[in-house]
Amino acid sequence: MRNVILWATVFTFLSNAGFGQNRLKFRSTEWVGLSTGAAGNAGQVQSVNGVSMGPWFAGVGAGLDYYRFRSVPLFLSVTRDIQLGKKDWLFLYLDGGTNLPWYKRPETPEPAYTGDAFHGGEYWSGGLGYLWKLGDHSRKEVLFSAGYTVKKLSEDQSYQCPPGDFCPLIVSQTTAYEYLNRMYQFMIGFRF
Amino acid sequence: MFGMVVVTAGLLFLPGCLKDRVTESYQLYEPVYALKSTVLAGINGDPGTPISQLGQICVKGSFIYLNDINKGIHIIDNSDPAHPIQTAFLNIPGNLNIGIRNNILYADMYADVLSIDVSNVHQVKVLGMLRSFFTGRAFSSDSNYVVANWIVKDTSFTVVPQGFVLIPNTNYITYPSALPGAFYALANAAAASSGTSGAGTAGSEAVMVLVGDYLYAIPEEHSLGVVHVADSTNPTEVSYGMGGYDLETIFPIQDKLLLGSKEGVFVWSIGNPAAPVEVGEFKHGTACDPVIANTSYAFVTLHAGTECGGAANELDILHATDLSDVTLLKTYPMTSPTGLCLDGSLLFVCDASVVKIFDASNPDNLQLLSAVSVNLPNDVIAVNHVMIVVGADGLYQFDYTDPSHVAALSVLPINNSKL
Repeated sequence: MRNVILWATVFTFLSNAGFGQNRLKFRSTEWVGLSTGAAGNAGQVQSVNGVSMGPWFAGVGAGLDYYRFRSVPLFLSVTRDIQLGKKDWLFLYLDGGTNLPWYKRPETPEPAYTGDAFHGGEYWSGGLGYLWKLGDHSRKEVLFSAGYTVKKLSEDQSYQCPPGDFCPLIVSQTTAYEYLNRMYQFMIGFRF
Repeated sequence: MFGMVVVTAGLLFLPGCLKDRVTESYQLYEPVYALKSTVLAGINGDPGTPISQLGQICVKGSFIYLNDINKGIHIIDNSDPAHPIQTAFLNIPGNLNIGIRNNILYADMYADVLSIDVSNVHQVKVLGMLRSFFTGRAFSSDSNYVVANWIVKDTSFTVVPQGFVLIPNTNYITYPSALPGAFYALANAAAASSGTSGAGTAGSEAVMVLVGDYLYAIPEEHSLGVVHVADSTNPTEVSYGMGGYDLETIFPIQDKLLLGSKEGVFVWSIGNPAAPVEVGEFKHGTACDPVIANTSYAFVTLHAGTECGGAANELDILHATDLSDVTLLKTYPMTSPTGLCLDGSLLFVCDASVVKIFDASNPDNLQLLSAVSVNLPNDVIAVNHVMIVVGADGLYQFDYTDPSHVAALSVLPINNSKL
């Protein structure tokens, strides 16, 4: 509890500290988008929340990605904005974190395995985007981005000879799959 | 900064960036072949060895013959069921099935059937061999060789992403109807003989039984084969043909054979022992289903959740007075029933984590007398008030002199080994 109070105090101090244009500000970006790769197209949503200082933004993100297997990326995000005009900007972003599975294989009448479990893996994403400020002094912005994402998952399909069955050769077997998914990511977002 | 943007944009759309990669890892079983003559010479009644994986059981006299899947047969001196002794082991690679008649043990060695004199269990002698009978289990193209062992290797390679298959002549993938298998398990098999003169008593999941001078078996899942065994030194195949669909078990009753299949029960007459004739059929939902019978009723268990498919978990009791016209009498719900057996009016059913003992005097109204806890029982034999149960972790024995108060006698544990 003491740590929470300490961090809250530090955050409040930094957020309100006078750094001119570079003072820390809380920002939140909500994304919807499309992942496209060898496994086809899939939707995704993300929410990234953190602080910005000048052209830099750093935050923590969480999402829902339906590419190949539904998963929940949890990541740290860093963004660098690059001003083009009064209201229009470019930005570069880099995300890195972990990709947690949220997927269960559909039941089949005669499954080739008796146990199935997905496990998490790395999550990386990077790209560039275009940012449009909605007003001269507004903190509300619309964002478009194109990027490249790598998400990893692993799966263990275990087979145990079921009671009542005779499995003459193999009593138990685990087949491990490592999935390296690589896809383009196109998103539209709203930052405030 | 603008340069960074351009570089990033360029990197993004490099060709090949979208090739997903799936790495599949599993254990590969590589056969080690040996000359059959060498293997047969080694079947001599070695001292008892630890049990790896329980298979079929067959009881004859004071001995239990216990199949260790793909390894051989343990011979257990069961003179005192409270203290069974592993007295000998027959090293028979590929063995799944056991049948015994007088002092001759019939056992498969992959595709072949051996006849073995077990008069002295410590000095057994292979008398004869019928080659290539179990056609579904021939793993060697040279009939002089047999798979003596399997080497297990960890294997890993890149595959087409699981859950998708390549559409021919394109770079696109689509979802297939079934998942690829990373391993294979051979066809179900089991063995026993039952209720015939001079023959041993065995479980309900047999695919090989002895009746008179003939051995009847399911050499592969759709066939019924007949072997003449009057001359044990020269077992001879006399008939081999279509026996039904997806056959699993075989049970002799009077002059009939009941063939349990995933779809139902096929009834064959062995009035002419060398040339069985199909005389009836009873169909049920798809499931694994050992079948047993007495002179009036047949008892079938169906269990779901295995490679047999289906969703039923039940005990079906059939009118079997006229085996050419088998009809359903009543169905009892079960949890996950497997092997079963009869002793007089007592019916024993392996069901999930217990063996249920019913008073089956009135099959229309079974009375549960007791439920004996066993770790995943698979098959059961009840002889002389001793119930022998094949469990997941050992061979259990119980005294059911009072079927309402069953007493534990002994457990022979298995050694957990993958092969």
